[in-house]
Amino acid sequence: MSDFASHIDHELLTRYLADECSAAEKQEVEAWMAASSQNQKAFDDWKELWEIADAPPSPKVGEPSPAAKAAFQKVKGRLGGPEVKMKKTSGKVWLNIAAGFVLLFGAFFIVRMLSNADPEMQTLTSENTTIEQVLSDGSVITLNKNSQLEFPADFTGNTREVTLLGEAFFDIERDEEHPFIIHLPESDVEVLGTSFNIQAYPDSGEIIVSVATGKVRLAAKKRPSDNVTLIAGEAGSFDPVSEKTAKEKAMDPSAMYWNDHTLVFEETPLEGVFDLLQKLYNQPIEVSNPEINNCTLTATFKDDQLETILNIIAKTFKLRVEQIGEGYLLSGNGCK
Amino acid sequence: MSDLADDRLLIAQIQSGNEEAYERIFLTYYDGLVAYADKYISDTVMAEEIVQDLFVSFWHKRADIAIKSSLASYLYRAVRNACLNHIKHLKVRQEYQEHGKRERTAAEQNQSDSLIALELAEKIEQAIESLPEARRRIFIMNRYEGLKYREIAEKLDLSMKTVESQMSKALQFLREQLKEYMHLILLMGADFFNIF
Repeated sequence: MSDFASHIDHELLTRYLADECSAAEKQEVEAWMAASSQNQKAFDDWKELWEIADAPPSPKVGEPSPAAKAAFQKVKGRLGGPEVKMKKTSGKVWLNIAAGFVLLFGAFFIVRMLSNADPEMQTLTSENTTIEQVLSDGSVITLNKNSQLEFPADFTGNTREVTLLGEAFFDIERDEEHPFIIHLPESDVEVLGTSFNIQAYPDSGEIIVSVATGKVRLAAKKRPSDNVTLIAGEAGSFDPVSEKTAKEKAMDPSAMYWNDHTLVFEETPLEGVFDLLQKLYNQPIEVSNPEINNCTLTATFKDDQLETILNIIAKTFKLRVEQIGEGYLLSGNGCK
Repeated sequence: MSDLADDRLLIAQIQSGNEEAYERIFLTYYDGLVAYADKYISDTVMAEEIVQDLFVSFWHKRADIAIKSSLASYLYRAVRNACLNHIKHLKVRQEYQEHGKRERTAAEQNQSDSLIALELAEKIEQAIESLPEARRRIFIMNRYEGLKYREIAEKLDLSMKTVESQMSKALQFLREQLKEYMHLILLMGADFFNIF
């Protein structure tokens, strides 16, 4: 609609409409609006959409007044009149579609009632982007690239069940009455309410579950007695070859990096830290003294530049960091 | 009456041409709808006319009605649309009169207005209805129940960030769903929201 309006963060714009902005944010939006007439027009369009989707008022229902009865007689006289043709308000044919829908409606209703036991399943497939999906219970699932999630439009029954192929981060609404079960190839994950990451790409073999908060149970499908219970900070795996579940020694610090750009190191030797950083940032990192690799790091980085991370590491272990060409060199005494 | 199953039954009956069901709906909602319209346009006679026109159009387009949400919210939304449209036309009419041109008769105008109002109301209902369930819940808690983001986050045990992104996505979804109707929305909205 307003192709030439300059960009503004849509969440900020929505917050503005919802009157949820801080004073500074308000100024930001208003400055944006004032910057061009296209911006103002874009804003007006969103505002009108916002207003028109306002609450319908609560209906007033009571005994009909004499005026209502009289009005009905008047209206009744007009019902037999010639049908007023719909004025075309757009070139589309949705009215015809709607008519078709109405015809089907009766049949649809019966089918729905008969098949109530098997609620409608929806399939969400991500290709080159990640997708966030909120399920009917409020759980939020972020699907990594090239992944697929199957879930019911509505959770009915005693459990909440979905099926995952690929990788996803789950933020599950707590509901102890209705356990949440994720079906994976050959294994199942069962939770009550927590957040965690599952990696289950069909071609990568192992299934890895990394837990951010709460408690998660990972079980082999064929032998549910083979299971591991994982708590926050822990990771578990299922090996499709041996068909066994196991608890990992430590969670991969970058397990959820694709989703939250956060790296979590727990007593990780710097050698491992550097390996990971080189992989993520695609820049070489060298040490002048192998004893530097022995130092162990406990830290969390979120959305940080490589340089920032290295500077923090250098400060922690009294090292020097210098940029050499495309990469970095760390020097100093290191740890025994 | 407010029960959705009841509403569906009534709609189905009206669609099959049942005048008793139609009369029942008319008598149930007429007074409330007129009072509501009157609040918008401060003209009781016109308010009655708008609501009657809507009901006539409602009958004529009965075969096309595809609402799954409540009949009441559909009718009230349609009345509001018709009122916004009426206000808009008053302005246009004034301009015409100033220029001494003939305008379409009010009767012609009202009949097509009420069809547009019903069409748009139906489309808005459908769009909100088709929001993904959890997103719709968040949107409705904010827009219909007047809860602040913070209150929604606490009630649903979600992060503020999730509520913010869900609200933004809900609005973008509605825009997408209603994009064919944006010109109607803008037509009706334009001056109105500055007045109130």
